[in-house]
Amino acid sequence: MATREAGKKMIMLKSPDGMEFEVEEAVAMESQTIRKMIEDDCADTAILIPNINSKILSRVIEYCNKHVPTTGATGAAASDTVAPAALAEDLKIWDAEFIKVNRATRFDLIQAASYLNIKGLLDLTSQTTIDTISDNSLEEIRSFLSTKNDYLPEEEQTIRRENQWAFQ
Amino acid sequence: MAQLLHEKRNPRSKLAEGISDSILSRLASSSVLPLDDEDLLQEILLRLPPQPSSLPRASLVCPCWRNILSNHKFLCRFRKHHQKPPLLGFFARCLISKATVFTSVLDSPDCIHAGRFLVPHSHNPFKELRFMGCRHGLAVLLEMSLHSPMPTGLIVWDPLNGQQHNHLTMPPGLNGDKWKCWNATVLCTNVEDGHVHGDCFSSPFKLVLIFNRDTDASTCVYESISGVWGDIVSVVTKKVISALRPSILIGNVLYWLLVGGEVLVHDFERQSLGLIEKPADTHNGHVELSYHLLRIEDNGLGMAIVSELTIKLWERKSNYDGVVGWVLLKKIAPLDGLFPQTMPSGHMWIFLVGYDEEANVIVLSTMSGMFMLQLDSMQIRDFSMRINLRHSVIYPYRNFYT
Repeated sequence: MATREAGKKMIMLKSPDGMEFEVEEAVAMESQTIRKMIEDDCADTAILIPNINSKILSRVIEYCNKHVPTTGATGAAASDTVAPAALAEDLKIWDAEFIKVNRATRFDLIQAASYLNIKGLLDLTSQTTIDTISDNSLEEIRSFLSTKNDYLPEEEQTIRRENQWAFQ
Repeated sequence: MAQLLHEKRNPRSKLAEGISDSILSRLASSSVLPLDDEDLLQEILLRLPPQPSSLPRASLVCPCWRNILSNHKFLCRFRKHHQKPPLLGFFARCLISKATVFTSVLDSPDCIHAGRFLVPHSHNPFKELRFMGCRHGLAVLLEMSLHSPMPTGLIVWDPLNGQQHNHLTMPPGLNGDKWKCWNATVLCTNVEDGHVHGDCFSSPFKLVLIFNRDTDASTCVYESISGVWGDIVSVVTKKVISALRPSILIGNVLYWLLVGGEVLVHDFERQSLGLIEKPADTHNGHVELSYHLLRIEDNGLGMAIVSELTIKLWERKSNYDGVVGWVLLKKIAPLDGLFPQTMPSGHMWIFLVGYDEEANVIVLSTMSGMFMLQLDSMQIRDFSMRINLRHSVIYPYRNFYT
């Protein structure tokens, strides 16, 4: 579906739980998956985003809205008028706030970023996950990630022995 | 984890019409947790820090992680993601004992023991392997004979896997003792898309040899692809090549310091050799360790010169008239804070003994210890506890320890 609002091309994104989000095409095209659909002319109706619920989809749209290169009234890119360093710093602060979510939401965002192929969001969510676990003990990491320790005690000992230096 | 489980849906609903099959198949598989989906898990694990202990420690989480983290393709992606390898430490060549030893700059558990990067030595009692520096994870050593100032061969060594390329003989036509002051460097020339330096042992490389006699300085380049040395290119100069200073690489140009502060400019693609005069206002021309070439912001050539306790940073740039020359960039306040107050002034000296061109960090050697000075932030780190080799020159070593 393509409509025009204030001169901007809009498209409709639908979540599987029935919510509809009308967004600027440029914002939606932050997702390489959606960009490809639009460019391949497969997106003349509303686009269903399977398996991404409305709560997560709205967060993804919020992220894309913030990160889409904006244009001013004159058509000049905002980055022409605002110092790139200041803009990057502003985005960094915004990202840090955006990613203050619980573990389940973050994992959902990782999946969504991957399916929709949004590199910046995948970077942010994955890096935050790694940063969260980096300083933790093995047990804490396994518990945080709900990963089972499938090693036999002797296997674990062998690996520790092989790289003894890394565990000092 | 129940909240992470998504209900499976029929991807071919009416609204999904028009979505290509590949996208559908990708979307349809989304009922798994991110960490149970190996592709997603890889995406996350790529972001593990590039420090040496990072992957071995993460391998202990579970066998699935271990399989991923030891996979060759994953390791290539890991290097590509991080782009710049971490500084693992320094090779320090003692000017008195001639021995070269590795010293880690990282704290435990990333600290790499010197024994894991044992520098090759000659088994011939009349020969010595002289460490000349490292780049792209590879090191180059000159085989020196005790009976002649001319090297008898060269070795390219990969500290990570301990392997050496075949012993290379010297370029033909260099016989005789009139040649002196040798220096050499190695460059990985892998131009494959996405190649990240750090696993370059099997990549093609160039070996650049420079040397001089009383009237000129010369260079000769060996290409591993052809297995032959190129032509010898020379420039007239009476200045002597600094055998203690590694070159600085900017684009296709290698810059070498001459004793006294002049610079030899070697474009190894065009095979040209030229000279740059030294900056004005330099008084310490006779002290080789008072100068160091730098690679500064925007790939500019710089030079650090220490006089007494003050370091001046010079940059090579063009003035308003388009004339290229040395411009004083920064004068660093006297570094007397590096010394105890009780130290006699005669003992207060600073030598510039090493430089990491990736991080723009210069290594200072003083009577009171060794320091790393970051030239952009001007932060100083004391690492005397790790290394206190007053009579050494320092070669930084960067690589992914994977």
